[in-house]
Amino acid sequence: MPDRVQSLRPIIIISGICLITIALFAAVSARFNINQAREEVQTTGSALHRVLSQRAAQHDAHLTSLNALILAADPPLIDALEQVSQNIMRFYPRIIGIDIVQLTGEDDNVSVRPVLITSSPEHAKISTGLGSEIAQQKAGAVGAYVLPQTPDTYYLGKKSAQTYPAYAIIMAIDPSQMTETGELPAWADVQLTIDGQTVFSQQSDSDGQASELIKPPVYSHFIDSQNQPLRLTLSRPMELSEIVNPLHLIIFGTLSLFVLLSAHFLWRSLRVAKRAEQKALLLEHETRLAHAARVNSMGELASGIAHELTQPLTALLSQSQAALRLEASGEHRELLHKALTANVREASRAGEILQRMRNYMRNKEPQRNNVEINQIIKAVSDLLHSELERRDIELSFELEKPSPVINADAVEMEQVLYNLIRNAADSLGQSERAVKQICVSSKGSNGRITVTVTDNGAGISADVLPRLFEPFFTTREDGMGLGLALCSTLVERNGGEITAANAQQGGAAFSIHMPQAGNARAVAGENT
Amino acid sequence: MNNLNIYLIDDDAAVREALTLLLQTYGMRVESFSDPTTFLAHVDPKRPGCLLLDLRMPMISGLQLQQKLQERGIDWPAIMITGHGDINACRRAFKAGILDFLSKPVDEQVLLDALAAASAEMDKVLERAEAQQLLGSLTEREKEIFDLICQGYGSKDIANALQISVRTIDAHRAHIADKLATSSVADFVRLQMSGQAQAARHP
Repeated sequence: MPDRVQSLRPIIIISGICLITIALFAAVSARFNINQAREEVQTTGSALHRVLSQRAAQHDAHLTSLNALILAADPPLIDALEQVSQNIMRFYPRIIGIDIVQLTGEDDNVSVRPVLITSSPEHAKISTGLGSEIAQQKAGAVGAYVLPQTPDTYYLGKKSAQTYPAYAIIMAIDPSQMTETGELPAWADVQLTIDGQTVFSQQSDSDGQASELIKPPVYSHFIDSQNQPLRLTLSRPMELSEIVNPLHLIIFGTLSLFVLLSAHFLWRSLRVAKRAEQKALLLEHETRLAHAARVNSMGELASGIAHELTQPLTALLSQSQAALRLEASGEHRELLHKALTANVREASRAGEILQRMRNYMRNKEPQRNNVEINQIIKAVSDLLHSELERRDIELSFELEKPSPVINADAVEMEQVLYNLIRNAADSLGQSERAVKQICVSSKGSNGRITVTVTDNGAGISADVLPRLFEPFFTTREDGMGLGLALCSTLVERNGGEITAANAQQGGAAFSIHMPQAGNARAVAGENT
Repeated sequence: MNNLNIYLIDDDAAVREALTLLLQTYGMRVESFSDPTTFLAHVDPKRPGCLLLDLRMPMISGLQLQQKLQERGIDWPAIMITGHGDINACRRAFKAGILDFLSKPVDEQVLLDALAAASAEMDKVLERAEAQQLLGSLTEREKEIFDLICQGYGSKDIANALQISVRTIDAHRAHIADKLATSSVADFVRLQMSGQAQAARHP
């Protein structure tokens, strides 16, 4: 399970990074596109504004010249006015009517009489209606009017004189013709308003749904004219696809995924190469250390053996020298016999010690026999006896009797037990305890035999516990970290397992679990 | 040397048995103990002897045993025999006043030589103990006069120095000669020297 998580992790990381870069790309390109649209709206808007301002100024100029013509003669020259008006309307199709009415009467009671009507009858009626309103204007001033019945037309009115009778010029303008074909961009929503009333509007040709996410860029200004309060509003609704180009997004996404994946594979192959190199280094290190450890433990063993051999040799030498003297003197024949018997005994004792050493040194396949576990414990404790006494450590036993029997290589099991007791003694060496104790127990139940080595030292800390049997793991400065690893290997190849825990009374407890020999045989019997 | 008592302390029964037999063939009296504690329980200051100790013994080490004996005023020569001839132990042993340091297995002749040296040392120790005992029986005044005699002064000089009569000095001299069982100035000097020998060895 952790393996799968481990293999999923790079995929999750890569997709995460990929998504983030895509999001970044989208944000950047959206910002760029919006800025571009804003600029476009601004440029187009101001160009349109300029054109419209010019054209509005033309309306003012026409009104002024017509007014001048009215004032040139009294009564005005209607034929000339009509001809000029017709000319203006011919050249400027957006001016759809020029009507002139005569205003007579008093301030509050003005009557209107049409003088010249060039517009359609519908407009002519409006022009006449506007007469009384224009009467309120100052002479020479221009007023702009939008009427509900003709929402797509606006009217400009100008009074010729302050005193009655006066003339009013009414010019009807179609705002949709104030712009020429091609001047209005198809992508824009365009509106012309006078006093908040829309006189012209154009919807953009985009058929997609405009995005609600962002406010579209807008250009909105009054055109440059004192008399015509005409406001131009130009906005650009943007679709999502305009803000972020999906094709670009896909291309970028694919590209970044490709780059990321290749970076990942490159990194992984580099790591694999590095790991292989490290492994090789470690292996070399391991070999060297293992050799050093073997030399070291051989040295330890040799010094232990030397000590063990000293005692029988001392006895042998002294007994022999005593025997020589007894023999020379010819007295005490019975003492001579006693001395020689002791010599035989001591010589075999030395031989046994050497045999044990030879067994230790030999590196051969395990020779599994049925052995009594208590015998193994006894042999090891004999070997460590003097060492433990020197270190003031008490060694006690809780052995099950009769001894449980295991099927294992006795020498290897001795080696394991030797290491465990030595380890316990080493850990006790660092402890401050007044009474240092090691207890070796053997116990058999349900076909399983457990040998436990317990000490009353500091115990094993929780962070160390799971790594105890790892090769080269050690908490001692001079340690190789091979002792317990070796123990684990040896126990396992004899069909058992080794565990470590903290004893209830504090201190460490190492246990060797082995199947009972009788049981193993019984199982073998069933199989055959 | 043959009347020398030997106290052998070693935890290995076979070694004890063998060394005892060997030394017995030389007519020595050997008493062996398996550990220092037993020895300390049995030791009799009135029966002086040479100690043969194993350096590594359970409960109390050989060196500690020697210190414990000295605390009891027992200053018998001791020989270490050990299976671990490490230099540090050897150095500490000699510092603690061990007479000799032998490594196991120990050869007959080497052991006999060491024991001969121990025997000579034993004589010195006994002589010293005797001298100290004799000198201890003198009064303060007698000791003062005894020291001056040993430095070679005559009765008259001593009388002048102490501002007492020559007759009184002579009376003291008679008492001293009585207590030390000799009137010879040469014997006096020898006694004084052997009594001081210990002070030199154990400052």
